[in-house]
Amino acid sequence: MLSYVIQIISASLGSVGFALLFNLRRDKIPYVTAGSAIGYCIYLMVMHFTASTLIANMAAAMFCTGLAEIYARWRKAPTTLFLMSHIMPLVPGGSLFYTMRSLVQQDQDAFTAYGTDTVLAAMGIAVGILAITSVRYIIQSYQQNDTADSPVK
Amino acid sequence: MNPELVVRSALDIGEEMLISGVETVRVEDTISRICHSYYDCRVDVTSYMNAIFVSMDISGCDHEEGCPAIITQTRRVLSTTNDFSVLEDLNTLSRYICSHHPEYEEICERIAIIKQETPGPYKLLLGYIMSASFFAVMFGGSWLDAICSGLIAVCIFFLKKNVDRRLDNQLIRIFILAFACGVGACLLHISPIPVQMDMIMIGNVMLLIPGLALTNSLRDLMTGDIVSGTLKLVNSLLIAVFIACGFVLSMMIFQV
Repeated sequence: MLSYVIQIISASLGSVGFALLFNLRRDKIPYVTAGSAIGYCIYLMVMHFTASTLIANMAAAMFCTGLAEIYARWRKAPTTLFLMSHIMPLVPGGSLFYTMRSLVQQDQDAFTAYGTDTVLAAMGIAVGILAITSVRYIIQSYQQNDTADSPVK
Repeated sequence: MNPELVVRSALDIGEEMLISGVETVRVEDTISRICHSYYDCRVDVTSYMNAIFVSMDISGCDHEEGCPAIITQTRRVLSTTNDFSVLEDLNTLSRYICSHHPEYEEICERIAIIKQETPGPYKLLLGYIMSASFFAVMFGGSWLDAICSGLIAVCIFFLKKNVDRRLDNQLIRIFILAFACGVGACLLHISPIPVQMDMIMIGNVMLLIPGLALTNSLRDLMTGDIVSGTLKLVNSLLIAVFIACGFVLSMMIFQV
């Protein structure tokens, strides 16, 4: 249990580091901290119950995207800013590296295992983001049915 | 405003957006909205990872004499970064343009002001240290590993500044950085400090590896943006291979 708590805290602080790297404005950092912590928490929880990389990443990415959309409406900023910082702990950077390292070292078993993990994680995140984005488009299309010029996204 | 200048200012904004690391869909959307807000006509925008093409057909609208009926302009973007402050300002600016229709000079001035605002070196350095240290802990490292990982991140930060200035090729740049990271981790491994080399490596790998780009490329592919997605996918896989080569080379030299 303690190791989970440490993981969640370090995941959220790590994504704050990336938010700084991406030059995110200081007033938006607290939202990123909260969002990525809860997002990673959901990932760990779903992972614990289903043991499926795809489902866990999808669920966490769906939450992160939903939260980013809400933040974006509230803080009047593009969704991407929040979304990219939120999903940073989920992004399969580590397994992508291990995949390529086992490729260079000609370790076929490790390559297959890590490669599968990387593709599943990346696919899960992409599908999760797309699902929520599509929901937003549907809602928008109902809202803007009668107005001719819609605002810039 | 002159239709040629409309396309030009829309492209100026689109170009800066692409440089600041935004999805191509958003670039296309912004450019076509800006063009449409000035002229009610057909606008075709295509954008890839590093190029934008715009064509505006104003034959059906009122416009000045001597202006061609179809205006086409392209832009080539050489390098992209991730700068969310610039992106946020550009988004605000494009909303302003759509609602207020300012003149070309004003748009240029505003873009110049946005471009001036660069992140402070301490902010970036802190970002490097924080991401490297905390991701080392997240993958299961100890606090000692986190500190060592942060130290290497500081070296990477200064090395990256130098390498970026002197080398054009992105893959070679990333290879050099990965090799330096690997050497640092190996040196710490053979030193008497009780550190886990793998954890130090993975913390610093997170700084270099294009995990986000890989995810975004899959997202582009699934949205139907096949060209952009394929380009990003190939690019991020290549970068990942070069990073792995850099690390493996350093491990072979130190025989660990």
